[in-house]
Order: sequence, then C-alpha cells, then structure tokens
Amino acid sequence: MNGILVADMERCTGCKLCEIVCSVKKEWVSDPPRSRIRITIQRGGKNRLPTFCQHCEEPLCAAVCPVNAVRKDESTGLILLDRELCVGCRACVSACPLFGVGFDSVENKALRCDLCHGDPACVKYCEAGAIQYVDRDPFPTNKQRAAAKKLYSP
Amino acid sequence: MHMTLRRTAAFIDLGSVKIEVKEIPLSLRESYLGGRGIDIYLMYTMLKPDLDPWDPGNLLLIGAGILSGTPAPSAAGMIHVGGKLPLTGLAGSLSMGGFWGAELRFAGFDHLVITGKSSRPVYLWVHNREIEIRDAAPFWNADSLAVQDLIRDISDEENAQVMSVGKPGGDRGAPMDLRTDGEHCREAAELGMLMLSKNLKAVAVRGTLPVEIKNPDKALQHLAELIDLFRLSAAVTGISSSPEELMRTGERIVTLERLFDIREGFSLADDGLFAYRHRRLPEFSPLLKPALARYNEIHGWDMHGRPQPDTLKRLGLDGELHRLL
Repeated sequence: MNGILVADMERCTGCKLCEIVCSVKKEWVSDPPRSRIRITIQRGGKNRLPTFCQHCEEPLCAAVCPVNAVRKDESTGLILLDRELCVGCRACVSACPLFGVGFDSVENKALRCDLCHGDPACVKYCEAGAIQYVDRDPFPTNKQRAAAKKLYSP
Repeated sequence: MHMTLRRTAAFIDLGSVKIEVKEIPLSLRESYLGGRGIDIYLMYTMLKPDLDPWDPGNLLLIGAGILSGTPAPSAAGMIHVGGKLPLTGLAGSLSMGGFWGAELRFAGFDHLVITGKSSRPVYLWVHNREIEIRDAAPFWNADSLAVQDLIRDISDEENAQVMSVGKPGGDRGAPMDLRTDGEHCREAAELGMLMLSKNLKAVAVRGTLPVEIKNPDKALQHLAELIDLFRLSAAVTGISSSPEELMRTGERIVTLERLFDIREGFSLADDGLFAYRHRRLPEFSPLLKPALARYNEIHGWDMHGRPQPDTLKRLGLDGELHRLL
C-alpha cells in the first residue's frame, strides 16, 4: 500500500456522504465532526472543497508535535498518530497548510486518516467518483496541473 | 447487542414558551417510522376535528426521515413538514432535501412539534439538545434566503441549516414559500403561511452530536451493495421490516392522511387537480377520472376515496387511534 487520496473538486457534489461513511467506519456512529475527510461548502452551494490528510513527504504535523505522537511510516508512507501519546494540543491541526488534520472533541485527540488500510471508505462510497485512491508514485502531476490551471488561471 | 435506537420529539409551545422533550415509543416507530408517518400520526391524534387552521393550536410538524443523518444516499438529509393547511384545512405534507434533516438529528432531535402563537416575531435556534426561542423582529420582512445568511452571521455558525419563510404580505400573509436553502426550495405556500401565523420566521439547526447506528458494519456493507434500502434501514434503526411490511407502513401513512382529510369534510368532489394544471395539460383532463378510480382501487379505498373496512383492518387503523405520544 503506497497510495494517497486525490479529489476532483469539479466532480464533488457536496453530498457529504464521505463524512458520514468515514465516521461510521472509524467511530461506529454517524458523526461528521469526527470524519477524517471534510467537505467545505461555500454559501449558496457554489464551491465544494474536500480536505483530508495528504500524507506529506515531510509532514509539518510531525515536526510541530511536542510529544512526538506523529510519525511517518517509511515502508507505507503513512503518517501515523499514536493516540496514547497525543495530548490534544491541536498544534498539528493548526500547522497543516492543507487543513488535513481533524480533531476529535469527544476524546480530545487529533484525528488521523489511515487510508482505511488501503481500502478508503470515502473512495468506495463516493457515488460521483470525486475521490480517488491513487499510487503515490508516479504522482499525478498532470492532473494536479490541470486542476491548478482551472483554479488559478485569470 | 445494541438496543433499538431511540428517537425524540420536542414539543414546543410558542404561546406559553414551554418546551418538552419526549421519547417516541418503539411501537409508534414500528407503525409509522419517522418523518411523514409520525407527523400525520401526531396531527391526527393531537388536533381536534374542525379546528380552525389559523387557531394557535394548529401544529407545525417538522420530522426527520428515519435514515436522515446516516449512510443512506438521497434519504440522508430528508426533512418532512406537516400541519393542517390554512387555506384548505387538509393534511399538509411537504418533503425537502438538503442537509436540514441530517442537521436536526446531529442536534439531538428527530421531530419538532410546534404549537401556539408567539407574542412577538421569533425564530427557533436548535443546537445540541437545546432549543432557544430567539428574536426575529429585525428581519421579519426579509426574504427567505437573506434570513438564512443573517442567522448564520448572528450565530457565527456557517454550517447552520435554516428553514425560513419569505416576506409576509396581504391579509394573513400572501402565499410564500418555505425553504431550507436555495437549491432545495419547494412550493410550500400554505405551510409557510402557517409558520408565519405562529409569529415564527425560521427554524435554524446546528448539531455536532453523533447519530447512533445500530449495526455500522452491516450498514456500510448494504450501502456498498447499492442499495438494499430495506436491509440498510434495519441495520441503521434496529427496526427490521420486510419489503412487504415497509410497503404496508407507507400505505398506513397515506391512508391516515386520507382519514384526516375525510374527518375535515374532504370528499370525491374535492379530489381533483388545481385548475392551472388542467390549463397546462388539457389533454390530461379526460384521463383523470379513470386514473383516480384506479388509484382508489390500488389503495383499497372505495370509489369515493374512503378507505374500505378491510383496508383499515389490514393496516391496523380499524379501532380508535390512541395518543401514545
């Protein structure tokens, strides 16, 4: 398993089913605030932005963690959280530039996507096919470029 | 083994400013499920026949679907609104999509039963097992979509879902629409008027509480099998129903709505379509009578649209309907 998630904002319908299935799978209740993936919808439903952990090569969340509860597993590329060590300071939540870290306000610990061990529920249940689980290498730079062009071109 | 899941109804009296939260008995949920079913049950058992729909005692019922806020595509946000319609006096029934229904459940409620008339313009703020009656005077005349953003600003809750009514006007309010958000607007003039008659401009909900799922693994599995709704429904709610039983529950709900209307004096003569529909589809008009006869037959109602005794018996509606909630 060496994959990561990529989202296609144009396909996302903003139905938020991914938030529900993620929380059902991970927390056994339907509880969107405790989902590892979040959909932010602009007023009027115009734009939808899925955010989730990118499992970065050099994770800022790990760098800022004061108790070293976050580490990168070199064999799988996953960023892992040791929930026993986590003190709930939210440093990782603020440090992530891509809003990829959530917070569990029931247990007061960071929420960390583990890609469902290679079978991500958000991908499986997305009817619009807006979230994909792809190989990290080769990284889909062309797709990224196309998306960036749509977002940032004048 | 989990218990079968609980569902709660909040009874909100805007006149005496009293709020009471009750659990919905399992037997009722088995017979009527959620949203539309529980709404008509409450309307039938709580309202006295011939009540003036403009009377403060009329009910505005808001009920989340039994699968709202759970992994069930398309059912996940549904909300039903009911009440005795102000212009016709019949059973009002309106279903809306969007996120409102899910948000109500995340706020810890499944049904809101609103009665009485507030002495001043208000809106309801429903948030994590609490209900506040708040001042709506500053935006009483705003249109329905503007109100939604205003309430999001005031409460500083961008994710609040708001059901709101537009500008009041004319005698007792001109027809207006009740809507949850822009894309999910439905013609709901009469229920909007009913809401304004209670001095109620909007109902806003925001919730961050979990909704329990009786059997999470199974629910996801059936969702993947796209989509065995009967089994998914049982995995979520813990109420197992065969497809036949669910069909019968649907019949029971529609038949009880018909009984409500008959109690209010509805007869075959009233069973038509609005004039503008005839104008729009003139070729359809001659087909209406045979279609209506067939409709009544399928429902097990007689040619006048009255449920037959054996139909009532089959649906468990033959005796007196006692108030269990």
